[in-house]
Amino acid sequence: MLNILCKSLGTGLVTIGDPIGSFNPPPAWRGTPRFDFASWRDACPAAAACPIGAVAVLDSGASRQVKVDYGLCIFCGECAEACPEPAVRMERELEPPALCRQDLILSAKYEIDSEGMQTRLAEGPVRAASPGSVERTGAAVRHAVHKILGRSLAIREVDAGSCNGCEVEIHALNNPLYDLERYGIHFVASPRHADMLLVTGPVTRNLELALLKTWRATPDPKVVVAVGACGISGGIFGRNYAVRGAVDEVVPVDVYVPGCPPRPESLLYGIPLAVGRLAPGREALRPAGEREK
Amino acid sequence: MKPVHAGIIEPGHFHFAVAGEPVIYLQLRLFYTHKGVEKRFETVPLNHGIFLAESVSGDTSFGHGLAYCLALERAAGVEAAAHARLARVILLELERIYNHTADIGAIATDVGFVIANSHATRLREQMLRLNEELTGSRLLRGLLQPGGLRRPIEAQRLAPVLEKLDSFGREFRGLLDLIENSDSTRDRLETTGTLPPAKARDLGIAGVAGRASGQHLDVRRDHPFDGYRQFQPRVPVFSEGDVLHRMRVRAEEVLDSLALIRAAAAELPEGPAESPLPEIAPGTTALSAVEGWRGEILHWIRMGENGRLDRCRIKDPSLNNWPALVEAIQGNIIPDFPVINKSFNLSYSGTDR
Repeated sequence: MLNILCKSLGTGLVTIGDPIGSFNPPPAWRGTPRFDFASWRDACPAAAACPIGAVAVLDSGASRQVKVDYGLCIFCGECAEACPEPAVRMERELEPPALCRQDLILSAKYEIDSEGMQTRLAEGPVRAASPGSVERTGAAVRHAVHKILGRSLAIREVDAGSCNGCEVEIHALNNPLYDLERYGIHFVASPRHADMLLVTGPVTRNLELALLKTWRATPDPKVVVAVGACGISGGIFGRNYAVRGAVDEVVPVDVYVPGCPPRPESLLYGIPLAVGRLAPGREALRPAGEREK
Repeated sequence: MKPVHAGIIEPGHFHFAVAGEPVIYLQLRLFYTHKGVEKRFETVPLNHGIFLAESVSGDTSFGHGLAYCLALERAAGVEAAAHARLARVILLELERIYNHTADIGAIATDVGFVIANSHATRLREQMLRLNEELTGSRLLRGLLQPGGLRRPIEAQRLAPVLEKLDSFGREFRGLLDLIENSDSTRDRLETTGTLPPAKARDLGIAGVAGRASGQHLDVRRDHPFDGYRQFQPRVPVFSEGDVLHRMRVRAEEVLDSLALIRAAAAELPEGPAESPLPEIAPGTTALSAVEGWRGEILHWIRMGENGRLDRCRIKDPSLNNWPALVEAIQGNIIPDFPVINKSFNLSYSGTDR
């Protein structure tokens, strides 16, 4: 008993200061690819280097559409390495979680010359809405959790087919450094006890029904957070005989957290963002299959 | 228990037959997370395939990535660059350390010793941050490449990591003392979930679970690859086969991994991180084996046209070891299932692919 106490006292306080809203990126972190669309001359090398097509180029005549999808991006940095211009580089900043799938996609139109070089930025990049509420501080989150949920947010984590990389980072939220419990947020065993489903994907065909049933078992009002590139878009696994695809193709999703896997700090942005969506009087969303009817 | 089961854990369906508390039989239904990964490999270029290999099982990103690279290197008849061969030893052992540390904590937690788990998860976070310091990724992703590594590991980057590993080693020994000196914890772990050596041999149990049940197997020693030709690991083997000894195998391996990293770092040569990978003729086949932290990972490939694979087969050690869980649980009580399951800690995604 005494040795346990000594060990704890000897270790001291390890919990890091409010990780929500104050992210100090570690110097060695690879970061997030950022694109200077105005000065970008050729998007083709980056598109060819991207292992999952998060940078896509579509040429038609003298115009070119360039699409960057952070919902697919695995943040490997290959695009920045392959692109000889400084227009693409890795910045040590988080790609913020989004309330809408479209918010993660940047699209720009260029005029191109005969050699396929982009001469003029004709349009864009458009991004529907930037999630400004990401700036919330930990105090605001605690306030939201207290006010809307009676000081407890219960999360049920659902693995809908992930590679378990996202689970590694979700586990990290519970360690003494991030200490999710300090916000009144905790993980529960049953969807019947949960306010939020934290879903990692891609949704496999074998888990599609299980995910839907889990969603149905969660009492209203509830929110769903799609975690990681695979949860948002199917990611590196794409779509094949075994993979159904993104989480929002099966159940309605409130917040998308990009990353492969998302850093704990990203998850800590996304979870409070979803709490904000739990406002009273919110309309219940329906799963994809029922919405069509 | 249906596929979505309690905790932050992957999906599987466990069907118990019980007589009161004792378990008579356990039936496993897996392959819920089947993602058609092997088919997917046939559609991606070889240099992009590495990212897919790293996603076979997220907690074994480096192990599976390395197996993929070795298979391609073997098919092409080349060796990785000298720098990469030793750097890979360092990185593979880092993956072993962070996962084993987490498992030791999880075993403690499942018998109610939560403080030990707090220390273990704290130590694991330290390791994830060291991973990032060295490679830019907490899960050691995006550094491997067929033929070597994308970027070399510079000495000035390695030196502070080694220092932190020393302090990690001290802390890790403290964690072990905490658990081993707790009589009530040891009492719960001893003779729980026993897998006799004869059963382990018959079922072909690999890795940590195999070594805790008397199986003298370690790919790093038996079929050395890359830097392991130079540095041999000590292979801890016990014959008891219970939860306690599966935990002890992990503990010994972490301490050995620390020594291996230090030895490999001392000899790490400067120089290019990659050697060029020549074109592989269609029809060439190759098999690679890597001792990941769970056990032996096998990747078999057959080269196809257009620089893509024609077929590949991936075996995670979890595939061998699920039947061990069925054997080990029999006769134990239901409340001990979580700790027995954790002592194997098998990958669903790696099994289901």
